[in-house]
Amino acid sequence: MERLRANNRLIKIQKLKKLRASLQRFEPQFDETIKTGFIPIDRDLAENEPKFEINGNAYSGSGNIAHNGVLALGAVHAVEAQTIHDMPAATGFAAHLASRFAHAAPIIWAQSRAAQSEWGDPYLGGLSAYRLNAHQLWYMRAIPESEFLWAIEEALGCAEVGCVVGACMASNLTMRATKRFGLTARRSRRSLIVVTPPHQQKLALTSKWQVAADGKDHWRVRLQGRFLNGFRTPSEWRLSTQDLMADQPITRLDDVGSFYG
Amino acid sequence: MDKLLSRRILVLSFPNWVTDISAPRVKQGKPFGVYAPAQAGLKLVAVNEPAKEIGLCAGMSVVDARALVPELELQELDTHLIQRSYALCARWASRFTPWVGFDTVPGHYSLVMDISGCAHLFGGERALVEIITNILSRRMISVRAAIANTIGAAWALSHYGAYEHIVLPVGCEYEALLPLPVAALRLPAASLDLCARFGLRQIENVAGIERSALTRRFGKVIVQRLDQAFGQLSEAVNPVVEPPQFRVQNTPLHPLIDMSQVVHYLNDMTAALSNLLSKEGRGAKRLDITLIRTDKARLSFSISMSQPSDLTSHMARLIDDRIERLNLSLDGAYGIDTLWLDAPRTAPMDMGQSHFERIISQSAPKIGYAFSALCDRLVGRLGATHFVRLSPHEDHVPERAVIYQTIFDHRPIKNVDAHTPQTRPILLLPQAEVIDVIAEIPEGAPRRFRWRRRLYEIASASGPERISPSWWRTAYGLDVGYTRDYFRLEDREGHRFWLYRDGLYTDETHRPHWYMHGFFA
Repeated sequence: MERLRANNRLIKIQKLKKLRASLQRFEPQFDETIKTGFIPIDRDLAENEPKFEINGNAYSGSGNIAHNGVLALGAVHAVEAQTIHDMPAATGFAAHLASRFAHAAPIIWAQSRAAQSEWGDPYLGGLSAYRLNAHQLWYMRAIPESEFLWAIEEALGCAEVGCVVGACMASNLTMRATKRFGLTARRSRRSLIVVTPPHQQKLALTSKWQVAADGKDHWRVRLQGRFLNGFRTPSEWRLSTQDLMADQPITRLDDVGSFYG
Repeated sequence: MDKLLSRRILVLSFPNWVTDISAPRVKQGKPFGVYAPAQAGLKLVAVNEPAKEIGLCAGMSVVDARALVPELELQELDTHLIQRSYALCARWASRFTPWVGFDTVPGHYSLVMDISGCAHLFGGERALVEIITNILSRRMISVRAAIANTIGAAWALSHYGAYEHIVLPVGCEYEALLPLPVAALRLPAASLDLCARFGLRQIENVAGIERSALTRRFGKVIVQRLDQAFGQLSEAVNPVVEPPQFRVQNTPLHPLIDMSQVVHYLNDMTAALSNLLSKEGRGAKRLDITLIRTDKARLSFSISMSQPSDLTSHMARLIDDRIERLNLSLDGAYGIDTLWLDAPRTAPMDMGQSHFERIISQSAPKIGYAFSALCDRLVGRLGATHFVRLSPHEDHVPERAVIYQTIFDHRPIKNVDAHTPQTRPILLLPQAEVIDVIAEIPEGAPRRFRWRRRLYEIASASGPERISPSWWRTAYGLDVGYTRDYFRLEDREGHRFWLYRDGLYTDETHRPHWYMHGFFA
């Protein structure tokens, strides 16, 4: 009787191992990341990410292949405002990240109806600071909450879109929705940036940035996420929006050919 | 000759169309007239029967009519409503026959329908006339109907015949038409004048004159009309609703009562339509879906596409999304027994770079089909006004400096010299919100303000930036805004606001209001 129970336990353990191994295949192995474009962030993240070698390949502490960047393509990133009044700062940060993801391809910006009544529509006059021009931006305005998730998923599934930005109230998002977005993003290799006011929900994200406005032309940005493991330097930066690398060309690991490949 | 004789034409004439449509609720028996502005004041365009009996007629001035009949009810002429209901009536009449045409004589409202071969479906010609006139009189529309072999004869009898419903047997045109007045021949006004001057009052006077003499005096028209009326010259009905070239029709064996069944049938029909389109090398730019219930009520909607497409999957997906958004529910008592899917607007598939492609190629060098398919899906489900592009516009007023352009709007997006991002916010509220402000009069920046029930203390301010409404708009009354003074404020916690004072003190208004308009990053 004892032996039977032990055998059953062994079988269960083996099954569990097999299941874990098969799930491991689905865990995203990000092999493409880009820099944020802010010199302090990129410098700190590049220096302090612990690396170790296995079979001649470098891996970072979180299991990803180590590169200089943090923002992974084909993933879901969140930009959260520190308080509801920091939403414009979060919008600006998201616009900057979107322009770096998309480079020259179209960016789809989706705003839910509640978001529009709370903090308004993005305005072209202010967006020009982030190198987004009117030709590139496709704006989904005042989408009802019931259609918001559908719209984001449709936009994310199209490989000819550069980047998708979704601004909504956090109650609209759930763990299941973000996991779905992650899978869609991975399949089409395009990124989603979610912009929300402060919230306590757990979402499946690759990186989470908290932004607060700090006076004229300054932001306080904090990074949360897997990359925190093993970091010793503070993951909080005070950025000047004039730090945006205006003069240097945007470099990405892959050339722009990956969009059209 | 035989073919002509076997045609049967039904003409419905509406002697009081304008008054019937303009005010169906006017009590019977009360005089009522429709007026429109004319050169010398307001003139009556049409009057109803009781008013005609009293002595009013079209063309009278309203002042005179009011003097004659003080209790006359009047309404302004709404040409749009008249035309629209006329078109709707023609569409309704097409349930009896697809060949429904409008009248070509100005000033008369009537429908010409070719009912050869379909009268037996409604129980015979008399029964058909009964049905039509019953339905129309229930809608308080007075109608006279006549069936004859030729358009000319039917028209004449319907407008000038002795009875309200006339069904003329084959071969009796001569006896029926001769006693009618000459105007029944649909002649132009000049010819009618001439006839009156010569004393030719009835058709029998005209029909007796030799052909060459008629042509010499009156021209070809009168001879043509005579021949058309008596059947020697053929005349075709110009159908109003042309059946589209690309149409797929499906009639299921049992009426459908479930939306999912409808969707299933529509998907099959999409495949058939796609075959039709690709055979001709064309793509659909618009899809019209019509569902016809067993009680002949119609449900129709249309989907526009940004680029011509003949792909089954794309069209089927658009239709599914639209049906889901419309959230239709079918009445269980009446199922759907006919489905139509047609493509009224098509374009050749291998056209060069289409306009839409040119628009997108401004943003990226190589955009393929997937992006326009995505646009179609998003617009189809959310609506065209919810998927827009931001287009800068030359205007000082900030909320008009950016206009939202739908994807069907083909105006190019201009590169307007924008303000520096230092002076313009990143977020703009759709409606500026009123706030309470403590500020120095007359032109000081705010020290403190209350917005959305919270108090904000200002640490620093810059401005004012004065934006006046465009003088060319205020001069014509298009704008009633005041001059705005915009301030960029920063509060103690580092958040930055963009608000304005609406109006200058003492110059424009005594109590200008303050509004919150936007936020800086």
